Amino acid sequence: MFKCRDIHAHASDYLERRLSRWDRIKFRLHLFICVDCRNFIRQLATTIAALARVKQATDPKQLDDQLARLLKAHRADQNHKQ
Amino acid sequence: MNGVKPGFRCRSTQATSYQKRLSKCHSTLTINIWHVSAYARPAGLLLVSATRSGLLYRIMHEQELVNRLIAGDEAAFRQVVSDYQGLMLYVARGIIDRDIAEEVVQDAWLAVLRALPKFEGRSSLKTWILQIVSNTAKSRRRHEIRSVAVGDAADIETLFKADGHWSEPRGHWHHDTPERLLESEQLQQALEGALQGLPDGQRAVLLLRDIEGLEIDDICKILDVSASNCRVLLHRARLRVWQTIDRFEKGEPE
Ligand SMILES: [Zn+2]
Repeated sequence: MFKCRDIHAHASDYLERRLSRWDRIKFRLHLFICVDCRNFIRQLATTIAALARVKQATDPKQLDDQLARLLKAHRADQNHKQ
Repeated sequence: MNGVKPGFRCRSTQATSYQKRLSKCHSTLTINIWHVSAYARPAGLLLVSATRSGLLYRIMHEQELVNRLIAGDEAAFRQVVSDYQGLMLYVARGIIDRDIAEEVVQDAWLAVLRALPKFEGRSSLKTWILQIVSNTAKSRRRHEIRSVAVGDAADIETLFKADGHWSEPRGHWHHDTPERLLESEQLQQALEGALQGLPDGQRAVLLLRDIEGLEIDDICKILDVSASNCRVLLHRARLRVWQTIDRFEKGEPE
């Protein structure tokens, strides 16, 4: 039987369907009897879904610096080719 | 500068089947908030909805973008730097020491510039660029054999009793959908703090998988880690973020 601790440890594998058939059955059996773990799995799924809406934003100063360097390098390459 | 600046940006991503499955459970809501905080860091986090786009669209769109880059179009350069600079830095940090990560990103950009005519669209532009970052970082590394320290897991000892049960009952969260979670400005800050506070290896895997939606196989190649190492890193990172939200929901300080 899986304990709550095991549910916590294997939750990602469960959500991404990577558990073996037998482990998946044991996992679901535990969820069936344990409301705490059902809540936990729901919370973790919500966490992952929220992360899917987060995007990296580049710092504006860094963006300008990097952009200037790249354009300069590009122009140098072009001149070299000609 | 400390505050929240509204902006309107959408990202077009190719959602993985896993993300699609997740998004089925929840309606999508556009959240356009640009987070700028006071402490120094490579990048902030922009919260946006992921617009779904087809494979064909992605290939056409990216090939056009690449053509514009080759032609030296400044707007195209601005777009790719804006999209990938922060991500490249976090990925570099997941592979090599922090102090040379920025240098690696500089070198990687030049390598990208030179390799652009060879881009064939077999992988997404993002994966292709990150692979170049990876190769650049690996070439700077002294030791070939590596295993990423997985970092400590969330406080297992306090979460569970000796018999393996939760030490406290797990109630419902007040913010029980992603939309509601991201509505709270304070929670966004807590979330950003949690992401910034992750060990470099965990953060890189979490960004690539859950935020950028890359497949595990691609992540393993980019970060040069085994699949099992990658999964442990991912799960630990998720648990840390989950715990941050959980503490917030319970009104506990960080
Ligand atoms: Zn349980």
